[in-house]
Amino acid sequence: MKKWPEHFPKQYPPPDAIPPSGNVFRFINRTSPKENDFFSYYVLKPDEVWGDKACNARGLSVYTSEADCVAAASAVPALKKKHISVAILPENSGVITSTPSMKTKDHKTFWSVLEAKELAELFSPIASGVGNV
Amino acid sequence: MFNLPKNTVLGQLKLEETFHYFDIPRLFTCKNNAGSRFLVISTFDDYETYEWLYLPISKDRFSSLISKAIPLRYALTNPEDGYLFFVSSEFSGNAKVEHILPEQIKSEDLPDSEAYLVSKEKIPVGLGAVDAQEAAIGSRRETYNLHFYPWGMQLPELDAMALGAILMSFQELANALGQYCKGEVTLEGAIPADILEATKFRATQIFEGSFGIQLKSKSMNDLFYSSLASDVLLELTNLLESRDNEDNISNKLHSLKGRVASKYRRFLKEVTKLDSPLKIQWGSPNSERGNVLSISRQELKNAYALVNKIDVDMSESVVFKAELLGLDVETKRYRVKHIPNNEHYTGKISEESLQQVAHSEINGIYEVTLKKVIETNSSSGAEITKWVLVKLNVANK
Repeated sequence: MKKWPEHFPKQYPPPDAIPPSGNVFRFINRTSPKENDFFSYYVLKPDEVWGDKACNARGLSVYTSEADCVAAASAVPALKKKHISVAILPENSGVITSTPSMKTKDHKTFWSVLEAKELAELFSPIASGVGNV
Repeated sequence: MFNLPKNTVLGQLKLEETFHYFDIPRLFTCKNNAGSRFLVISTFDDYETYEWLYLPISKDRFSSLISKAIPLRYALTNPEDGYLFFVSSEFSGNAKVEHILPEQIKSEDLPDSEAYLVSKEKIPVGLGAVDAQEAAIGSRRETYNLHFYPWGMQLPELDAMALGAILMSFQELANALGQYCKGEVTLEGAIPADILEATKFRATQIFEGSFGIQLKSKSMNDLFYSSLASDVLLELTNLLESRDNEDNISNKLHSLKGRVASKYRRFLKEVTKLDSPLKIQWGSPNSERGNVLSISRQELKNAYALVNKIDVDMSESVVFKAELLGLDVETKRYRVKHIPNNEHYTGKISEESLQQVAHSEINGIYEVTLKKVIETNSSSGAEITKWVLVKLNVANK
């Protein structure tokens, strides 16, 4: 596996995170995945003080089933307006775990060792009915 | 970290529970320092600007959402105060807040109609509003607050037995009224399960005043704010509003038919045992319904005495040819044998007919008139049928 980005403190990602396996889904802001869709908030807002959210801010939100994406989009209009993309990520691309709490169990965070541009190339759009608003 | 709106009319906000998270919280509740809670839903973002709907919600409404009694879309399109907030914010928390009416929300900014607030964990919501009208609007359930003022009571406490008997008699009365409202009146036997379900009430909290208990219909009102529980409370409140007016009580009980009279009698009996005035506060999601009513201790006692009398008058009568087997004017008891099928009937002789039956002959054949009285055991709730002798006429041989 590539090295974690330099801004990752030693204790991140959490020890229970495991390498991705199977399909990984992520909402994107356009029909085809672009680099901009795979920047973590930590990268997008480098001057922000993250406090106890520093770990999550370095990760990307993903789901491990399309049904979970559709359920989230059904409840959250902003997600309904986005598009769903999917990838089978290489095992050495990073680690994944459920976050931020049991209340949002279907949601996972993926900490990537890959650059946003590389991720954009791995993900493909899917036709799900979501994003047709 | 992602910042909630700062320096706005929404106050100093603190994130409470997150239900959907995607890079940032997307569906969550937050509270301001004054305790106002908002349900927040993300409607748009492009990583620079973010748009949200902020819906002020009461504990009752939050509870209805958590229990999936109402979908998210319903909550957003039917705000309790008639409006919600549209918030356009930046990541830093700089935000513009506008009041909007539910009809101004674009359909694309609403969740799907079958989307609910889902949590894998139990969310502590706490008790809802005490005010019946507020609680009814928040929960979309009929709400009936009963206040008792027992003599000399300092604390909001009541004997468990007395409270249990009042609640049981209230529910049985509601069931009987449900039969009337549904047009399926019977004097005895099981009440259909669909009526029992639709007229079920739940005790949701107690409060001071001096002892108050809040009952809410288990079921919610439909989209037109109507329900069988609402119709039941309308009839019940009308009945209570008759206070101790004999004509009004009599007319109402005669029109309500079935077992309402005996169930109302039992309710009044249990309430009068407290020797307390009664205040009811009825709140309904239907803005045309609801009421506040105070009934004095004496009015309750008088009403109980009147219903006692009326209930016997309304009882079903049977007339048949019978042989008089026994009669005791001292103990006021009789025993007769139904001629056609040899069935024996025993019971009390009514006060009014004592004089008339006193000189009847044992083993004589009579036209017997019996009135059926159904009594309910106050502890078990079991119904007992009794036959009261009201007339004994010599039969044609």
